[in-house]
Amino acid sequence: MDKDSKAATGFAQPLEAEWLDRARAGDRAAQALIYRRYERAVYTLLRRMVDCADTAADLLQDSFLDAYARIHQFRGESPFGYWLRAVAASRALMHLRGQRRFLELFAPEAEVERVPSFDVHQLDLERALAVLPPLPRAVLWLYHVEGYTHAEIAAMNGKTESFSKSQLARAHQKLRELLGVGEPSPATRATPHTPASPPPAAMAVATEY
Amino acid sequence: MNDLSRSLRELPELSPPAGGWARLSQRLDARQGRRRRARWAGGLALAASLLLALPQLPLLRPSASDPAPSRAPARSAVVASLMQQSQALEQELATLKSETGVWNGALASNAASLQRDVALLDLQLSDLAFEPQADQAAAQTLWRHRVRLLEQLVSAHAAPTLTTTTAGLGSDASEAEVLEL
Repeated sequence: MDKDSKAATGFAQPLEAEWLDRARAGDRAAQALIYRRYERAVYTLLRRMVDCADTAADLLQDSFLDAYARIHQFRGESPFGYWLRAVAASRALMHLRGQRRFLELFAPEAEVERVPSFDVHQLDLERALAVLPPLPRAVLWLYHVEGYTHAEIAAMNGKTESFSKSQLARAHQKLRELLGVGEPSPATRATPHTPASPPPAAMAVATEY
Repeated sequence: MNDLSRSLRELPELSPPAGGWARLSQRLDARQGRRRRARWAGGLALAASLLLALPQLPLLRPSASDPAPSRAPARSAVVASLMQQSQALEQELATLKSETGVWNGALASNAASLQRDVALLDLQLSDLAFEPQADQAAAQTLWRHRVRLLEQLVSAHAAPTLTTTTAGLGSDASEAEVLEL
């Protein structure tokens, strides 16, 4: 997977300065163009993080409302899509935090039992993701796919790095159970900020958000 | 598991439900309408308060302690800077408001009072904008007051006694006031 694949997610798509300026001024046509350009990328991120189509659709709306309300804060130090991604990720995390009173986020045993008759070797990643607890799944996606560091994920959650690390460890453990694979070796374990990750400047902006 | 990052990235993008922009556009229109109504409400409030509180108006005029700009371009830069500060504070406030659903009555009353003061200032600023020979020093003072009020509002919303919407729905929710979000 290389930069092209990242572009396929849509966040790396460039946004012309003229459209950005017009959107800042409240131009509805420019706002529509931005929405249509990034809606799939934002929706995919949200859907992977919250794993509920209806909730993801609502968060998609809220994320763009947030983004347009704060668009003057975008300083252009990174591609606009990465800034928008940070807005959406924060929205999703806020939602997940709000659900913590009502959801059992860290109950891997119960979740594993949900698919007892499933041949885990045939369980594809998509289905494995669907049975991960919400917060570990969100952290897994932000870390492995979006390239955020533990420090950045912790900042978005208002928590410490150890929180992010523990959530990721839970996600790894659960995936290993579901997919029937062994412990990844330190040498070959996937790391964030692969070539598909945004440039450091984008990370900095994401952290500032 | 070793190729987890790659495998996850290879998952396909997902399509959002149709009609998303239409929904969003309606919500943007609604928000714009609320802002317009708030401006009108602020105007009416100012008109009423002018009748009742004329002696307080000198407080909003430039004072000796305010730095007096020497040239017009420099004054404009100061106003622009204050406007930026004001916008940043508005955004911070919007974020705090979205995260805050319930708090106690004293804080709610204080915030409402500050919000009314901001509305009064907004009307004065909008009047100033229509004056061809607008007094830059007066604009500077008004914007400085606005920044101070917004700072107080942000502090009020960030007060440690606040509870979040979901966390505040416990037994003490009946003693708290629900704010408009």
